[in-house]
Amino acid sequence: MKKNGFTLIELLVTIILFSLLLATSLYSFRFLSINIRNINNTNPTKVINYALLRGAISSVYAYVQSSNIIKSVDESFYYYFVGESNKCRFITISPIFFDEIAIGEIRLVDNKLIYREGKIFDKEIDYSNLDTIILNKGFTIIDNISDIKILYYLNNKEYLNINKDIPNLIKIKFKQRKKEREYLFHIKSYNRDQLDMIKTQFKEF
Amino acid sequence: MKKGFTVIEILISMMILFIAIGFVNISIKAFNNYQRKSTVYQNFYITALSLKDWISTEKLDKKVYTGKMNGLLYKIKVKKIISKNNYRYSFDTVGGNDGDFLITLNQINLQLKDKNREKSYTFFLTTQKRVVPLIDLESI
Repeated sequence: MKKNGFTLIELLVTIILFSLLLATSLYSFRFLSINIRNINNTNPTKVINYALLRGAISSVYAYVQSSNIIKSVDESFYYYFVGESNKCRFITISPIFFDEIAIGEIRLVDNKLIYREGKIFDKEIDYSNLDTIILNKGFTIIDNISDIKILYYLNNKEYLNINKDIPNLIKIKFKQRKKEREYLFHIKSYNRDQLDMIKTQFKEF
Repeated sequence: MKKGFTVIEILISMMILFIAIGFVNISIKAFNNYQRKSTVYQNFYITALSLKDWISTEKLDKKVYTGKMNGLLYKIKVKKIISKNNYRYSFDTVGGNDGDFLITLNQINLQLKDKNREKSYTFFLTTQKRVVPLIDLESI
């Protein structure tokens, strides 16, 4: 009688070979997909976010504020800028979400560096107190980061905190996947002479 | 009557399957490689802009600046092109400040290096230095 089909041994050998091949290909595919996921997680929007943020920070406006209690002309008027090691708040004339002048903030929230923005001039906003403005729009600049520190430079001196004055340079230091990274932003400070002009006017008055 | 597939049929179908798997694998690898390259270039781009921002705040008193940033080695060469005493718009003097500032145009060459790649960028930067001291009008 003529033999039909395969023997058991032939089938077993085929199954073993096929499963070995499948296991190796699945393993390498899994490794590859993890690699792709890691790259995708951090990068596609990284440059866009960086460029948007750079535009907003480089256009920081020298916004003059006055304190409620007038002590002396020099002490009462100052530029609005809040610079801390985990937070930075400034006025920009090149906002990302609004047309005109707006208030921007970089802040660290749960291993994420986020940027938020709020409108300054509005019917409902008391713009004499800029700290109370609600920052209702924003995006994540970078995620999965640790050991973040924001440093400020004014006339080539390094500061951990800076208040009521605008620095020349902001440095954001952080660690991403155990690698140290640095983002630097130069502030051009439009209308830098505004404070001197206001002080001179008040002194003459 | 013949039942099932012949060895040749199975071999051909397996060959087609493996060719398809091979193509998918190659395209995934190419995509992965493209993504890795784009990550490297993004790092170059961000580092170059960061260094440009940093050098804009420097006095440019050195000819060469070297260092390491974001895993890349950098070398910045400063070449002075022209210096002139000029007018700068300012509120600090009433009658203008013609010639009070020495304004210099510099050509900056920025080189970034990694294990496999090297990139070079050139841009221009002006620096200004007050050469005539500011007169305090209140003391006169």
